[in-house]
Amino acid sequence: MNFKNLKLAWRNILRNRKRTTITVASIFFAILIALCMRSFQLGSYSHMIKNVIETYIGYVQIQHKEYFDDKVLENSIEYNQELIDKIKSDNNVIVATPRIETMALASSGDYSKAALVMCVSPEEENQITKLKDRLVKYKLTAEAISGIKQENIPEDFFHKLDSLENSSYSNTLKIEIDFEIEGEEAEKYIPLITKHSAFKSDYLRDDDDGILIADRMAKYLGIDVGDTLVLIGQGYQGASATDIFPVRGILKFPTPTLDNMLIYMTLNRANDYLSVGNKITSVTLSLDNTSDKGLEETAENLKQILGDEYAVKTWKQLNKELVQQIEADEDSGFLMIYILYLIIAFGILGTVLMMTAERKREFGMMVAVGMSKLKLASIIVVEMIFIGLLGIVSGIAASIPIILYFVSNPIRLSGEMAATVESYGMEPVMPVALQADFFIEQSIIMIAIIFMATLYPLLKILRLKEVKALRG
Amino acid sequence: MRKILILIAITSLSSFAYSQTAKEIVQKSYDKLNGKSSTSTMSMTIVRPKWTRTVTMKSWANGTKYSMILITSPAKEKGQVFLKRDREMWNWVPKIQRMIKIPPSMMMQSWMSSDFTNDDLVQQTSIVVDYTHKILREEKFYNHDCYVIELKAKEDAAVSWGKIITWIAKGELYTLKNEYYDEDNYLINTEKLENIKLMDDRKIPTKYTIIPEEEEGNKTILEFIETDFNAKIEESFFSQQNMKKIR
Repeated sequence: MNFKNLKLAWRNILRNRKRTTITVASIFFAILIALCMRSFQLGSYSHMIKNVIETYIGYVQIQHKEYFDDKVLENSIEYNQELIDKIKSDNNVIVATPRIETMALASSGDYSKAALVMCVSPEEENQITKLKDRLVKYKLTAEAISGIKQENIPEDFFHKLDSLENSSYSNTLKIEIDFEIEGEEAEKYIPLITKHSAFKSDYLRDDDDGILIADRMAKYLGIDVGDTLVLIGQGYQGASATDIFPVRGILKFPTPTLDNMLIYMTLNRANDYLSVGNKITSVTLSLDNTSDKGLEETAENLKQILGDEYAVKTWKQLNKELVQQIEADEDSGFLMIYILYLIIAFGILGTVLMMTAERKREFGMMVAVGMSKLKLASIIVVEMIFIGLLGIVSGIAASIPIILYFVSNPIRLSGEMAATVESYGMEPVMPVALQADFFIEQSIIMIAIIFMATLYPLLKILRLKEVKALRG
Repeated sequence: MRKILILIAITSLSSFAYSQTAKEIVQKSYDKLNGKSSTSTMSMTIVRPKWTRTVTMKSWANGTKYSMILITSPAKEKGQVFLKRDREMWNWVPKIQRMIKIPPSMMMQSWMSSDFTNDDLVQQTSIVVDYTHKILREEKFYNHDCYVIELKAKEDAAVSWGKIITWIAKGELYTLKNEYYDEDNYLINTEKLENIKLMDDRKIPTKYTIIPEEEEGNKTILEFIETDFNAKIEESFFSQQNMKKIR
């Protein structure tokens, strides 16, 4: 194809601008909507994944081979430096921390509740799950609220303060969201709020005999820092595990399920409480490259290094529910996008049909004066490619700034919507992800649609009877 | 004529005795094993595919209503006391200085991680009252002539087993084997009683083995080391105050 043909095609496009604009616009919007929708979807998945992985399960866990199917302390592994060295010989592993997970009945006074007890090495655990950042630092007790009310604050704060009584916060950002203030307002009022609501939680030392307890659970049991809690569980090989623990700190988890059941203690304390000696139920890893590929490679490598005695489980195997949830949601998302594409495809086909009918005489004329049908057809194809590229490129160009904006300013849900999302166990935000591979995928699908729409005028041209076409 | 009448009287008497004994046999056998009031020293061995564990304990009992168990080893559990009054159960844990009432919801949970449930400790006593009894057959079992008796739960009785089949030796009347079935007639546990020895004033089996049907390789063996059937223990002994004091 020579340059003349390209020029001819371009001129044809510009000749009927209205027609071109309609076709380009339909492609543009299809791409824009598909990209934005999908980015929100992908964003919420990676957010859900991060929420679960980084607050609790970790990317990879090394367990006893039977632990996954039968979660009892007897299916535990011996913890020693040799094991850790072997695991860390994989370059993708950043932190490898030992844990014991066990269930217990937490009881205080007349109240009791099932608890998931995590026995950890405090400093290493903090490197993986940032547990320290979850310590409650501010608490709106009745006393704090009356203190804040004495300060110079606007009237409409009073109602908010009352409705937020007993809320706990581990950072000021959540306070800003709950009070719906930002910028200058936040700078002015946050210090007043934190001044009165400061709350002292301690993190665990390595030799600590106390526990950290999740906020909602602590509220249910009616206990606070400095109180004691009784845990009744089952120890190693049938030993009884009943003991009393002082509460060192309160932790605030965004996901209500975790906030209702987690208790942390040190491994040293667990050895005594569970009579478990030097055994642990898992080594939890954080990885440098957390992509699907990096994850699989590391898991495969660790399986080779550690052998059959151990099970290497990625978060996908550990939390099948989450993976299934994402897959189901993904399917419904794809269905939406396919319906969108179907509509767009018919839209494009419509304009192409119109164009073919409109230019029937023109085509007849061209062929009559000696242009080969093949050449004419190729010009039409080039026209369609131009239109398609225009739509795709402009669609991508328009969606990138929108997506980028929401990446840095995720939508925070509020009110009832937020409560609903929270009740599903998720943080009430709508984050967005920017993923290149998805852009390419969508462009290819769009080009395929355009080619299919081009088939009609092509067939028309190849079967053209000049005389008939010229007569109209 | 007179002779015939006597003959009829004798045969009917004996058959009357036979049909009437099902309940009596169970009652007598039960009384024999338990006595009016008693103190015992026992050891319980929990066998699991990967580990075994032995707990020793002392027990006090008065009739079927009251009993108290003090754990004497291992060190971790030493000092724990279980008290049973009627159908209620308490657990004193010295380590946390707390009295825990075992709630009804936890009755079917394992006791001290053995194959006994809390309920087994509390409800065993009602096998005479809460079940109907019928002699199924007589057969030889481990060199003993035995009655095989079927116990069916009465409609309104709050018991944990739907059916129990028990092998009771004739003459000496000790139970040698029990099979425990649930309401749907599935075999759940098999209990064997062995090692017949002279304990205090009577010969009784001293080794009880519970084998759950569903879990392979699991069993629990309860052995009586010493029993005193004539100890007089007052009802007032079985109190929450005494749980904290007992050694």
